[in-house]
Amino acid sequence: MYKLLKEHANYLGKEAARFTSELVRTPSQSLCEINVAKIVERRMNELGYDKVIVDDFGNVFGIIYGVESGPTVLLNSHMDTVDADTENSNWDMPPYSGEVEGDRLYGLGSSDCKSGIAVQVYAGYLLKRALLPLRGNLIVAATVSEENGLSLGVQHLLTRTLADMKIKVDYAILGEPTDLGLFYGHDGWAEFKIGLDSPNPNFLHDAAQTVFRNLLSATQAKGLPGFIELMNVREPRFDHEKGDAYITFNRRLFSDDDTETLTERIKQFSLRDLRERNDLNLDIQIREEAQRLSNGQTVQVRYLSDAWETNPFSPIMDRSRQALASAGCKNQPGKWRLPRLGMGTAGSVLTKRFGIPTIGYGPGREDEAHAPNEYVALGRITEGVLGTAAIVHSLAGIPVFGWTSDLEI
Amino acid sequence: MRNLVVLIPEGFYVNYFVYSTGDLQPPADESYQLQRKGRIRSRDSSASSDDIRSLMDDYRPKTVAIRVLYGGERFRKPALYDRSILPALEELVPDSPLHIPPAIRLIKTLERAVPVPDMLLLFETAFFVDLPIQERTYALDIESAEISDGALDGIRRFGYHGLYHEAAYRRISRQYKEAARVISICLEPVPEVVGIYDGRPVYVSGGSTPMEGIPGNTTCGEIDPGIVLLIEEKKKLGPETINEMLTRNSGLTAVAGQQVTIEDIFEDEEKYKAARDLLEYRVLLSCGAAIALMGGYDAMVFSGKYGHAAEKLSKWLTARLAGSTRHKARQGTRTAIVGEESKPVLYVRDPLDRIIAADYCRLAEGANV
Repeated sequence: MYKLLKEHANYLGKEAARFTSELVRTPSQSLCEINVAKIVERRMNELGYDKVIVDDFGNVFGIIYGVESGPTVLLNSHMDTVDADTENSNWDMPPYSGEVEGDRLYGLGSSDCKSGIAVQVYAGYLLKRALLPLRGNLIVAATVSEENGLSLGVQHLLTRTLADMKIKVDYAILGEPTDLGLFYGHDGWAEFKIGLDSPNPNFLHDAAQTVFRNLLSATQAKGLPGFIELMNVREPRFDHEKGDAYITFNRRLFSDDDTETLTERIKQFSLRDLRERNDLNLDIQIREEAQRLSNGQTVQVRYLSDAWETNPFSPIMDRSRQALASAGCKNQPGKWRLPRLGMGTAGSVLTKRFGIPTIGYGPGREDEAHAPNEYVALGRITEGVLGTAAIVHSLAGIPVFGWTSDLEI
Repeated sequence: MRNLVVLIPEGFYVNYFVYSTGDLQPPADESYQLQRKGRIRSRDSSASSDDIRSLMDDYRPKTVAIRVLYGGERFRKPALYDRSILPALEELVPDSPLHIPPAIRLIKTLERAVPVPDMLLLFETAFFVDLPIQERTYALDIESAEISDGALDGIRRFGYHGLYHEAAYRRISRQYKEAARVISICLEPVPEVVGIYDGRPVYVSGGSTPMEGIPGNTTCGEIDPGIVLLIEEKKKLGPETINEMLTRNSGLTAVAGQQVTIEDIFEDEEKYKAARDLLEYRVLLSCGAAIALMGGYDAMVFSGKYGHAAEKLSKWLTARLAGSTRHKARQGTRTAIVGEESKPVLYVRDPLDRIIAADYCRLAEGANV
């Protein structure tokens, strides 16, 4: 079976790379994914997915039905990218070029996560083309609005679209950059907003600056006792008409973090060195705002992404590792480091909210995500197509134990 | 003259053979001629479909004969395709996941040809559907409550070279009419020994899948199931890896220490002695089982692609079985049974496509195929 898959994957890897390039050449910042969605929809139809659907949020997904109703495996990658920000960064080539130099395909989203989309779309096709039947169903979903860290697209896909279709997902595989490692979790983050107001406008100004300095020091005191890792602490913003101010910042969340306790701790930290505290009202909340999606809908979002982890010895990890080893693919377990706070994956939503065993397996490299001159290695795309298909087959395929191809019987 | 196209899926390819079947006068299987053969790469399903349709356009065959490796208990003889067959094949997908889907795709492609040819499906397992119950049954509690979800239904023994064995038996019966008890040995990558009594198989070395039985080029053959469990436990390997080990990296290749075929091990007798000894030994044991079940044997027939190996193996084997000479046993020296006359041995050298074409001609005589 793996010989068969490899033979097909060697050819399909090149097609998947060309598809990645097409996706990279099509800008798709968060909330503006519609053009990429059309390309993905068209390609899934061309490749013969049994059903291709675009839901009311703009998520596009293809289904390959198995001979039984389950288990159902969800392959998920997001279509949106961060802003190119070419003026403030060091892109050596246009971020939407999708050009190949040597073994690298360059462009914004090449690692995060358009090569993931291509690999997953072609992994489904690989199973179809190799005529390897599935027991359960495969859903390959390219979703919207992930890069704000809140995975709105996936949430909608699961709560409404698939629920309406009476489809229950048993396993999920994210195409986020893992350099083809088997990743099983990452820390979370929350964006906090400290609201400040005081009857004394002069005091409010000074107090806000003190709180800001305290928070800023927290970004620089790594390793010291009581350190609270904070990032992106922004200057206080004053509303002179209302007579109040606010400060926003991010904080990494660990699996044992309790946001209530954490909020109180941040509050005490913020108020250090502040005299006459009684004149100041300080309110810490996780930031919320309304966001308008590409389909025109407005949704209220809360800037909180939980830390998550799938048991590294769980069946999804075991089976995936075994399948990758059999296919001759790299099968190194690991976790995302999330070097830039505010990054995340849909794993938080999939595991915490829906209880779906989730892993990451994607061709991109985490270091390349959101970085200038982002690239993905072409060889990783080919291996990713093979590896993803092998994982899906191990979870939802009809076992071929005892059988070999006609040539060998 | 009518054209017959034989299609045999093989790995990444579909091999095709175009025959003209003459006027179908008896003996039917000698009245056809191969006109053209080739292979269509099945890597790209749309391209292979186009190639198959253009083959149909070129030759406009009345009938296409398709070799199907597995037909379960549903298909006990060749089947002329009608609309009831596709759902039946789809039900067999879980039992033979690597072989039924390509057959289904071929059929669907041919259904789109103009005109649609008659499709004759020939199943390798059909010959073995009515194996005696003791022969086809495994001593497993597959009906127990714990696993009674139907996932293991249909586990039973089959053989996987039924077309060769049937053709071989027909050939030897024609030549030696008195031969009721026949040992049929098919030397293909997974070799298979069958005991045929009055035209019906009573013993087969194959199993629930082609993995069981005699070690093949890369398949392990019969092993203690405990070994599989031990490998899983000691090496912490998953089922896919173990399956690869047992089906692709075992057998004669494992014993020889390098990739070999049955043909190879009879070519270089010194280099591959261990592999050849093992193959001979396992074939001998299978023949012994067949002889025990049939109360002896009247003739032996070889078929399959490894024809040269068959000649060498048959000499060794008939000598051991006839017992007409003194020989050294594996341990110590012993005097063999003396007095039995040597039995007839026949070699069927026809390739599978010719056997299928002959089957078609034979069937066409009895039915308007």
